[in-house]
Amino acid sequence: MNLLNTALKKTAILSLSCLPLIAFCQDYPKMAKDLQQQFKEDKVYVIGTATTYEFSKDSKVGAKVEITGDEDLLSLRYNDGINILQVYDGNSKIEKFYAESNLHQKAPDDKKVCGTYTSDGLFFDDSKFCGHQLRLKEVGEVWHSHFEKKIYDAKYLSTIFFPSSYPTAEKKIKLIIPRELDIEIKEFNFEGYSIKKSETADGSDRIIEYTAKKLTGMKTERAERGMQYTYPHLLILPKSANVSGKQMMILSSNADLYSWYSGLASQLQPDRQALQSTVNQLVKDKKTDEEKVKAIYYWVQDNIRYIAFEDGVAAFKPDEAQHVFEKKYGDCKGMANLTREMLKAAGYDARLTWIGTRHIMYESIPTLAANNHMICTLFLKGKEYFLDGTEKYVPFGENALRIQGRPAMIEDGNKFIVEKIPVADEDADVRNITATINGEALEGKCTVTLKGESKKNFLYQYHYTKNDDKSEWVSSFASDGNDKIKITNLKLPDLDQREGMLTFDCNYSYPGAVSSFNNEYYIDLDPSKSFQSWVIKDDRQSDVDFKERIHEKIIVVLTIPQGYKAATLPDNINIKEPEFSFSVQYKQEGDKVIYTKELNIPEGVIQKKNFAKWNNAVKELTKSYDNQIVLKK
Amino acid sequence: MKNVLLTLGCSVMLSYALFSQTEKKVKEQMWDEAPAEFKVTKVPEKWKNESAVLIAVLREHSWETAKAGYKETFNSHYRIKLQDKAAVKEFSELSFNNNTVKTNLFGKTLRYRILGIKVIKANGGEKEIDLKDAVKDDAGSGKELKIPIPNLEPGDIIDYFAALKDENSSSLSDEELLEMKYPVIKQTLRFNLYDKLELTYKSFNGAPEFQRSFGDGCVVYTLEDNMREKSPDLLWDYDYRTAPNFRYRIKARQVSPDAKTLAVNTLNDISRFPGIDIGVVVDYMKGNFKGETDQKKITYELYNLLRNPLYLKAYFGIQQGNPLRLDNLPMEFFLVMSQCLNKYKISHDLMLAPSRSYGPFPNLVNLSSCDMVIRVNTTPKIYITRPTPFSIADETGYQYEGTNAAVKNTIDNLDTVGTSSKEQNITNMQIKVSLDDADKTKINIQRDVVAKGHTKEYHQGLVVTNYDYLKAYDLPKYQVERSRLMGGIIKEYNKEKDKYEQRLTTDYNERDKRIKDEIESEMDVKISNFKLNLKSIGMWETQPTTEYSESFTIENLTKKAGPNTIIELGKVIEKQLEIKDDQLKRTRDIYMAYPRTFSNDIEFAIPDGYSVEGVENFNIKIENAAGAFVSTAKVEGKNLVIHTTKYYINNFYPASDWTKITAFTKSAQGFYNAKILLKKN
Repeated sequence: MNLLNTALKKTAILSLSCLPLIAFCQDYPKMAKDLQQQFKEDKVYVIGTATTYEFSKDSKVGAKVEITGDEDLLSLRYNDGINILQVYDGNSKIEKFYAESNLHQKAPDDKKVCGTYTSDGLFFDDSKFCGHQLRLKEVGEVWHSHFEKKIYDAKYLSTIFFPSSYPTAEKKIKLIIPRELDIEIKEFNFEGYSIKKSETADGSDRIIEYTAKKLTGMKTERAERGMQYTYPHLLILPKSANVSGKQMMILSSNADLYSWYSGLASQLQPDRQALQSTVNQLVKDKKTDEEKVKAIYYWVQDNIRYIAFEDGVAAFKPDEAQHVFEKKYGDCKGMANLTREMLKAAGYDARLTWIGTRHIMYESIPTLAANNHMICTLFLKGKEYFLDGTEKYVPFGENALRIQGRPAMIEDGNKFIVEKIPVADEDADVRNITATINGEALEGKCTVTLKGESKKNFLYQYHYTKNDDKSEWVSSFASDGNDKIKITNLKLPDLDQREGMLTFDCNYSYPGAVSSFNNEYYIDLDPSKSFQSWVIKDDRQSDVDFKERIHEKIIVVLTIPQGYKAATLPDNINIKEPEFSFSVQYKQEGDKVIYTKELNIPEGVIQKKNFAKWNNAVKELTKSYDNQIVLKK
Repeated sequence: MKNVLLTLGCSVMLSYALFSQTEKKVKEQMWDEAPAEFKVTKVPEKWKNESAVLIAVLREHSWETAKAGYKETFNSHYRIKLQDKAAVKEFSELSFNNNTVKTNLFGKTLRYRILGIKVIKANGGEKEIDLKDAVKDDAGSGKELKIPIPNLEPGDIIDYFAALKDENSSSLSDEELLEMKYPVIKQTLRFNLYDKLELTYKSFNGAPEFQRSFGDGCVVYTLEDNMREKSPDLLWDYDYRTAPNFRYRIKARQVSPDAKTLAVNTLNDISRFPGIDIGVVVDYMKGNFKGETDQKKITYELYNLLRNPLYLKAYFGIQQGNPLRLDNLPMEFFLVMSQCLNKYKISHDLMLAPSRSYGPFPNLVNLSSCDMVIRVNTTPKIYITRPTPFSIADETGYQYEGTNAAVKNTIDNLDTVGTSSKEQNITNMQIKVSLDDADKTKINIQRDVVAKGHTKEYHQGLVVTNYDYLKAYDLPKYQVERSRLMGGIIKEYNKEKDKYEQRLTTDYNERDKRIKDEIESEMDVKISNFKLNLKSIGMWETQPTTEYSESFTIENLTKKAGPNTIIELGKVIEKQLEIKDDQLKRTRDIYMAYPRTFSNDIEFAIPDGYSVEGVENFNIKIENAAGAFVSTAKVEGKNLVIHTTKYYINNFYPASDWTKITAFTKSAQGFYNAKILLKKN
């Protein structure tokens, strides 16, 4: 399903369509053959695509949208196939979706396959798709597809992206907006793209047209950032409608957005009694408020599994707390609601909170695309605590990186409170190693210290590894994935302790780290060659998002064997940029050589504008890895 | 289990009302009347660190005769204790289709009549999962329904069953392994046989025997197995040869052919094949090999002809378009080949050979692991097995090498299928290594690869594209239209070839990427500037070797050490098998695909102004009765010249030979990790 999900993700919000663009006779086989040289990995090339979004007012929800789209796909492959997809949900319907080729192949509307799919997001929604499998019979074959779709409530149309999965010659987007509708269009990431805009009037309609040319196809890339950060797109903000002379607010402000969210939440019918005896049991021996809250919060983390499951409830409405409690599973909304109700049952002030994770670019914009996650906020002794039941090993009072620094919309009756989630102190993965030479191996002791996100990730992976594989997994972690290193005598502390740092010791042996020629030792001190394969290619589209703040430190203290001295120590490096810093230092103190490497990527993100600097730094780091200490008699 | 998969293809005919009643009855039978082991909640101390433990397994087959074939009822019942969060996650969701259930445990799909799942909590509380809560699974997932298992945590037990009924079953024999993904405290297999049916079975490698008793109008065979460890993950293993397993066959009392007799009878039946029109083959031979008397030459030519995409289409209906896939070749290939050999009066015999992975005829209860072989009685004999797109007539499939095959009309004797040797299955690489002139931290490699025998298969899959293959068959002798049928097929073939030519850029790009990834993985390096020159596909008896040249630059094989450079030269022979500490002990026999040799001739150009140290690291010799790794290294003029040879003598070794194998694989590992120092003079 991964491929399918990726394809869906990339096409879900695009809503492609266009005119019959291939009216002119062209030598498509020749064109395709030429394009093959340029787009070696692409199966098709989009000759043209055009989508029209026609808005109209609606007396119930303010505004609705009808979308029609046409697209011409030029095959660059022989005897191959692609899928074309259109996404819909409970608030929309695909009325027509068909395709046919100039070689008389047909994918008629009644043969489209429709169904659900589960995205890997936190916020379970009810997305579904319809699709066709198109066979590419010949190089140069042209498939024309057409779709018509209705969105019954315009606020569900939040974004329109320009690129598709395939390279595109031209994409047209046309928005027809009646004057009675106040709809704002925000443009993002247009820089570097050829996108022209025109705005005209047609009777009482505003006509906004965009034409984008030469769009690169979207590709799945490792450590990619949210697509909102990467690709040119429009954010559609339906603010209000004039219906029968009255102004109807849709999402004119965050107050409207909150009002809509809280309207859904107010439909919940909590049965606190169902939770009460467990809550009482959890808090009965606890003395302080913190201890009581922790008992409840950690119980939710430990006992409620994350399963996003369609159950007929509206995509934005949380599941009832008592249902989640009984089933012991839920999505983020269900877990947030259960945490709230259990805390309330214990007498605390706990509230639902809507938030966009760091995957989301928008802040303080009234759109459904702004929030993809829900947590619970606890008000305790004048302080707010953010509780995320989906994070299995995050301690009370700390927050997962993905929500740190993000604005949260906290329920407060008819109003709402906006708070930014505090940014934590740095995370850390620190390794202290003492090493002596034994034949062709380095041997010694290693102490691993983990803080923050590094510790949380360790605990999660440890606890979710099979019992009989745990020992191997921990050894692999201690050796930083270097399969030559042998770990022994590893002692783990209490791994149920969420708070504080995590430290453990082990013995290690690194065979092959020492080469000896003619009584000289050549030593590779660093067992972890982090980032040496991280040179970014020129055609990368997305910023790099490592999904964690990186602070790696390794200190190796090598004892020089008696009778030897350090003949050569490699050069130090010191690279400091706002987004990252690399430091590698060698120094000699008495009979010791001390190697210290510290790699910092404070936000875990490298933006495209800094790729050149990053690549130079990685090359320098790799060069440093390829330098060895020389010990001579 | 295979039997169940084969037999559950037919629909279950039950009305809804009947279904509800039956469901209630089956649930009572499966849960309330379950044997005592299905009440157990604790697992033995020695398995407390396992992720999950199967407390009890019951598989019960009931067979009776029907108008056409047999009726089978199959109940399977599993009780599994989840001991950690990983196991809970694995069993969090079950997916199943309207008529099938896919269990996470076995990964096999069963059509079911009735399914029941319940969760037993540590405090003894039980809750049945209501399957009406199932919802549609993701489109494209291949499943129809999914259901989350609520309120599940480590320490819980999942107890579930599937009750199946097949009104028209035909397969009555199968093989079953007793080891599973998790350890099993007790498993029971039971056959209730009605209508005078009887069970023939064979137990292997410590699998217990069946006990025979009498039930209500039936004969009952029961096998009980206790405290079975989980299935180990072993290198070079055929689990049906080494692990506890049993094979069974249900039969009417009066008929009891053993597998060998069955094979000979089958061959005798097959040979009544009426034959088809081989006129186009005859025309082809007449046009190209008129008067040819060399029987081997004719045999090769006929084989190449029937392996040709043109004739695969003409005789076996295999569509053109995917010439490198030939996994759907019907058995008729052997019959047509035999007919052609008859036409040219070439003496041959049809044989049925058992696969090495299931063992010889005395171990078999059916012919599902057997395939046809044609023995051509030339000198030496040619054993023709199922062709691949590249195979040559005398390249016998290694799965059947050395097995004792049944021969048509020969009930008493078996014939041994010919085997290949380490001298025939050989890969040689001539590797020229030099420092890059512009950047002395990089290494340039020029590599000539020659592969023979079975070792070709890997290289052919890596370097040959559809177009290369069609081009290889694009010979004038195949292009003569001797009939309207062949005319049409040839036209289609030429069209296919042109089409593949159209996408040559894309395909070569993909091929180069595939090889580049393979080299990076096999040598554990980063490479650039990859170029390939394919010299010979190795698909003709006149050019039986696969040959190609590659050149590329390795980015990370050098380390700087003051003014000197360390080169990890051992890595140029590609990654060597590493036997981990926990694999050093072995009690099960070793089954490899075929004997083989890998040799490398490395020439490292020593740059001017440098000398080489560490040459002695590359002089290694471990030879024993199982195989060897031998390398020699010396400086010759301006080059460091290294020769390596690694070989495995046999395709089978008893477990006692494991230390011999690990001795030379360890020395090969040592070579792979060896380095030289380029010392600045």
